[in-house]
Amino acid sequence: MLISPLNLLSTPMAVLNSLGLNLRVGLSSEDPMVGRSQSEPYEVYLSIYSPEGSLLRRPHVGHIPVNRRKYFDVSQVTQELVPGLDHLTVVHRIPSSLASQMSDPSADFEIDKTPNYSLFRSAVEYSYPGGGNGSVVYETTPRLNDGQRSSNTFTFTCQTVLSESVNTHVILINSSVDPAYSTIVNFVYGLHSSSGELVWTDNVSVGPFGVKILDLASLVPAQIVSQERDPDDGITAFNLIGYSEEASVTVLLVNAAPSLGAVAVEHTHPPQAYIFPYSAGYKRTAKEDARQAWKSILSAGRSR
Amino acid sequence: MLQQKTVMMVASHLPDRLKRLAKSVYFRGNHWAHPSLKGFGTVQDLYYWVADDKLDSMLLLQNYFSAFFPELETGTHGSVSLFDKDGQLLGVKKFTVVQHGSTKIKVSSMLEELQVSSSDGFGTLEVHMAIPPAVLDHIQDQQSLYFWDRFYMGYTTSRGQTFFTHGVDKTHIYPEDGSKPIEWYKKPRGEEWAPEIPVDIEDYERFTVVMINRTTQSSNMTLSLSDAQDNSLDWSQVVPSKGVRRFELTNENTQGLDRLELRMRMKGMASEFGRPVVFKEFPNGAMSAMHC
Repeated sequence: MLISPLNLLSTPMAVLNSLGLNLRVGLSSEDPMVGRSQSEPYEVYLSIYSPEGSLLRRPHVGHIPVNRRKYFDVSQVTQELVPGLDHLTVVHRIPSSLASQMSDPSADFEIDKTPNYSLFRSAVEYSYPGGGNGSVVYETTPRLNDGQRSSNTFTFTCQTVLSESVNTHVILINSSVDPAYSTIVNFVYGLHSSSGELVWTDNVSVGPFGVKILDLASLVPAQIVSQERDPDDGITAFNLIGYSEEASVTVLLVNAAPSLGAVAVEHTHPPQAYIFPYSAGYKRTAKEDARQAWKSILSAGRSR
Repeated sequence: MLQQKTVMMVASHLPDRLKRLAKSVYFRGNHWAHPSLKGFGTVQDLYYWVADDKLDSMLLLQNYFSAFFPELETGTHGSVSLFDKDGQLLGVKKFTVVQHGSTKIKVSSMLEELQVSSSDGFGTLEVHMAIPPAVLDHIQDQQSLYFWDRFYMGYTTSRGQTFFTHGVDKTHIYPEDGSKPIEWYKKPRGEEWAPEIPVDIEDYERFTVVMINRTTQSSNMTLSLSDAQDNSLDWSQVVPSKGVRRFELTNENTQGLDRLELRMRMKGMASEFGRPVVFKEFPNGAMSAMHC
């Protein structure tokens, strides 16, 4: 069976230079589900993309011995190549036993059986210099935008808050396991107030192997933010709904409080994760029906 | 547990097509996710709450039914059950949520309203949002359908910071016919988890590992912290059913280990996905949380 070594264990990560955040990634050489598989050493590679989505370089950045954790300072590696703008990187782990047999990690490789690396995630950590950090664990979803099947996005979350000190940045990552991937994503989104009113809609495009930040404090008119503010705690909270018809987008929420030297990050769950239908196929149906319905609603209510 | 692990191990060696066939035979007549998922209802999880001088817990309960069925009237109601760290019920607050809307509940306010004085300042909570009638009508063509309310628990610091963590597991099945909630798990399963995150302990004022027990019996949980020389320290606590315990790591109580790239292992985890959530406190007063 032919496999792509770079896609065995990877995580797409946004370098958020425009927010002044440093990016590190923490990696493990152990299966988080103890007892499922033996620990093995890994070689670590980092694919660095330009802000326009071109692969700039793919250095070997280190080795993780058996039963270890290792941090890799991604910003330090990428700073020289892309000093000021936001851009995509993908961290790859390749078992050392496999890496020793290949001259080019990007070339397909023949193995007997694909190992099960599900739930092998990376700890993606953002921090302000001298401040606190926030982290989240996730991985490249299986066959992400591989061109072999339809891909799209439907997401919703309550994690959008604005206050005097906190601002939510919605991070959109358009990546793929296919190096020839060329899809431009149009991400359409809306914000509802706690009273259920659709107060803001907009759309944004994200190029292939690109990232985009939705800075909600800058995007949403101050009057709307002010109207929805809770006088008791000064927090304005919205419900976010978003979709894309073109591809599967990784959506992260960075809640940043730069004046406090504080940052936090969390991912969203796909809608399929919210339902247990008797027929597993209904998960896809429910997502598709919802996405189509939101397409109609958000198109009609576009704020700008 | 042994039988389930054996079945899973055998299944992992089957080709994909044969795996699907074997699964349908194994689960014949039952729901693939849990045999008690019959008819319609919701699946709810326990979350960690804290309300002290540094942190408060903030529920921003989004009407997720509106996300799935935006053209239906999805206004609904629900309740938040608050438990202490030993899983004992402190009180219940009812709420309503409109179509496309959300409801905000702060645990500190809830404690005040319920006139509960919880000296521990932390515990567990469970939310139950009812399926709106229009949604229930709409899904009747399904043989069975349960909604898993995977909301994001919010936390606010006294300095004005906000952060969220998502739910990871399941605790109760709430059938929509109004019958009693069903336990998702019975006995503790004695699982082990090896969180991916390296711990650079010098970065933190305090690094707290939070463990919830979602099963019906107490579980003895042990946190091991090891360094690159394989030196390790262990801490053990008995976590009562539906309760929560915290393992607090600092520079002081981890002396003897390297300061960088420590690795955690949680033994005695009560349920398969009841993995740790960590709270990080930094010298500058910043905080954040993360599910492992």
